[in-house]
Amino acid sequence: MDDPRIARLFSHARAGRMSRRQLLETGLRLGLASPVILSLIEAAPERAAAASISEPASIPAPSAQSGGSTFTNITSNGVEDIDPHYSYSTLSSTVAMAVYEMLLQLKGDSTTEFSPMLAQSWEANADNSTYTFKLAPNAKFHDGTVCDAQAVKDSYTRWIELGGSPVNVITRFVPKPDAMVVVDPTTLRFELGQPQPLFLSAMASQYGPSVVSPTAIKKNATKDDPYAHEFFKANAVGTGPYTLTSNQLNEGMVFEKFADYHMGWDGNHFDKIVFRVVPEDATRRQLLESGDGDAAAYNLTIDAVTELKQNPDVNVVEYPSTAVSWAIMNAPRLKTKEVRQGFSYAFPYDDIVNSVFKGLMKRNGPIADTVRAWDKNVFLYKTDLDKAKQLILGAGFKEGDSFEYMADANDQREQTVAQLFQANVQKMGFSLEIQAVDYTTVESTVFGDQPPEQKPHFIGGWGWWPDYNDPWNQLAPNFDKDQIGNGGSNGGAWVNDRYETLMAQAKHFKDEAELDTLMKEIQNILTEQDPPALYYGQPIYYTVLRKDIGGFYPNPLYLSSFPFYSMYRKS
Amino acid sequence: MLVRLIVRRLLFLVVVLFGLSVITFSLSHVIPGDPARLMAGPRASASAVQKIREQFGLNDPLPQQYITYVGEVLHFNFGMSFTTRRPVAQDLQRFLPATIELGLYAFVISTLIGIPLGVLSAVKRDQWPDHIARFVSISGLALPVFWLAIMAQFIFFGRLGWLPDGERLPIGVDPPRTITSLYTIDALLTGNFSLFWLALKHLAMPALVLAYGSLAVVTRMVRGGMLEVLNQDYIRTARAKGITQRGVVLGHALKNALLPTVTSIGLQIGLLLSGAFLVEIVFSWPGIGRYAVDAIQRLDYNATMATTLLIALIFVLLNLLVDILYLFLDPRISYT
Repeated sequence: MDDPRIARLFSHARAGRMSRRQLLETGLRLGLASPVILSLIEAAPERAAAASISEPASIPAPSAQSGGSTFTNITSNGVEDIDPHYSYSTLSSTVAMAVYEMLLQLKGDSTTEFSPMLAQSWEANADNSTYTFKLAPNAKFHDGTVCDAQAVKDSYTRWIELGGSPVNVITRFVPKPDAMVVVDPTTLRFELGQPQPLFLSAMASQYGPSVVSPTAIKKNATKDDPYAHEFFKANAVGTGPYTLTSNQLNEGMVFEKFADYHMGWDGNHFDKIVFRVVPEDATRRQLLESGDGDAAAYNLTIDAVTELKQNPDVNVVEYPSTAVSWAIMNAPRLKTKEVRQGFSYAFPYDDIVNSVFKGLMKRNGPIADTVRAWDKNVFLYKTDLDKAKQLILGAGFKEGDSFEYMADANDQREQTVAQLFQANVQKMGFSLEIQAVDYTTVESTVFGDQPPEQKPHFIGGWGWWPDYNDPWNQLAPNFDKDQIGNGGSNGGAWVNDRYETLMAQAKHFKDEAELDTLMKEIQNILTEQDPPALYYGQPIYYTVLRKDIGGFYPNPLYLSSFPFYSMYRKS
Repeated sequence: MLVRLIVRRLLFLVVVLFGLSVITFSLSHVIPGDPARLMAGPRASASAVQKIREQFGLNDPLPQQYITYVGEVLHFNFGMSFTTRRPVAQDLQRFLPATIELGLYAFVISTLIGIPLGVLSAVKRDQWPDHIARFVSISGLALPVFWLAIMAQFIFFGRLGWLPDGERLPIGVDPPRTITSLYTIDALLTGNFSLFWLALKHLAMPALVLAYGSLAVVTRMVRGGMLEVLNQDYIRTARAKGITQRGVVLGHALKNALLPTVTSIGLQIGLLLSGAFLVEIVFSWPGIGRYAVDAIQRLDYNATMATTLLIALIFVLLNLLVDILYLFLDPRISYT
């Protein structure tokens, strides 16, 4: 046990932070005898036993490492609001991963398994309507106060009552705080009133479930701001491994090790995390190349990523996201399913994937393959201009008819996508006018209440990913009837009655098999039968890391984030 | 006469600021887009967006929003920024000193190098110092500042490692105690020489890049002025009286040649302050230019209005200063 790597493996195994496969692989790499590894697996908590069903786990084995040091993450912009109960930004959730904790988190790169954070264990009743969490007895907030069941309840009460952007993540399951019952200081029960198989997924979401200090809320609350949002937008008081010590909006942030972190500091970890705001693409790349930056997550140009892959000093980690990109079709102007099918055949999929995204995208339907109930046989259109023309003409359009395609003028990729599509449309004898506008106009057109005839036929550069591993959460905001106008994002005003019926059932599914069946048909409606959008595909996310950074593993549901606590610098 | 000039210009300033506020307010509200949606994020629910809209008074009719805004501005309250979610006045206080410090150093560099270079270029007309000076000034005018910035960063940071890539100070290094909010000056005033050196190193590359374009203008102006003056009769007289070349150039020619340059320098300071945003982006400089660009992109009306008004105010005041300076440089000038 003199080897710190073995000590670390034992610690991880006991804490249930590694799957059986990870224990086996790491143990063998460290030269442990099989009986020792087997005993480790036996000793691991039950929740760690199930192997990941997603891609092979990629948590790197700890190697011989130096002591603590600083990890510098290069970001393209600052984050103006880091209140996890208010902000919906990816960057603020990345910050939350350093300073806050949830009850549980997704394990490694899995999208279906969980590992402990504040809760050491959890269980659901038979019908998944009640969940009981057993909390770590020694967890403390950065302000020194104890994080017990009452504190978690108070924090989540704030999440519900503050009504910030990510509130739907909890209110779908816990509409009122009285559904949370404090059984004893280390036991918290959620009585949901109906079966909710996705509750654990939501509680491990990137958006919202962070536990903030109720003492800090009270201390900083005012009459006009009873939940201390003003304080929490720039400060953080959580139980996470790092404390926020400096927050300079446009410049960056500094986080330092929280000495009383309840999981302890055995093994190797960074002492300090720095987020540096570098708005210029070329500068971010230079910092990575020079070693002045350790990581950049999905914020470089595709060309830079392609070139960095040849650089022996950095490691480009690519991983499948939960996102899908598409162009919205304006259903009232492209009235029949045949015309929308026709344009679906006219879209230049291969050029987009290979030339525009240079492999950082893979073809898919409306749901990513990392999300539950994805149909591996989902219908994918292949570019076929003859078939496309036939369908469009059959729907009543004539040669020479003109269509409009709106795209973000400042996004070169979207402009190229629009031009490639324009070329195909012209080849068929129609014309496509590209409306190059600012992104704010794209967004206001999607969300706006203007009548469909005032919107273009196509709005490019749209897309979505779910807040947690749930296909309903991916589709409902974009294609449900009640999301048309009034701030909803069904910008194409698409309606399909069968889809509505199936989605109502999918929202309250009882078991995975039922969800799979429902979603198979829903995905077919959204593609082959009655497409509301032209699906480019599923973006491949990437994180560029200096070669000496260890312990990083990406998770498709924690996009552009970092598992800070498990990361370290190799010697 | 001076007092009348100042009063007249200040009255003019009020008219300029009022006009600008109307134009900026109208233009920024004409652009389609919902700042509340931008602030909440595309994934936020309609109710969350509505809550923000109410919080920032975005549901009020436009004329009412404008009147409320002007009323607040008269009390030096520029409202809340949608981008930073902080009071705009607080943001200006935070970001403006960074731009002033950058602009100030760029101004000093461009003046200290540009004037001697222009003089040398005129005195050594069509000789190699003139060719060098003309190359410097033409390239300064021709090269886009963002390209120059990226190249300078690539060479002096990326390849040679002589200078930092940008920022006012490395993240995590505490700035000096605030006196003027200019880090180099405050570090000197508090006797923290290592911090002064660090801040100066961080400032060097952005200031040089920003100064380059301005230096080109100053050099060209001084050269042109000097060439004109050096052909005048009084210069020939001075030479005939046996005054040294140095005395003729510095004592007689330069003062008169500087008159048009002063006007140009006055405008250059304004341009250095307002046009620094590209340099600020490349060098991650937390200044008002970057703040303004972010504000415009995110339909942050309050911040856009405040930065526009501030820059207009700086321009008008600088012009006033130049006019006053003229009175001292050339007693023949009168503004009556």
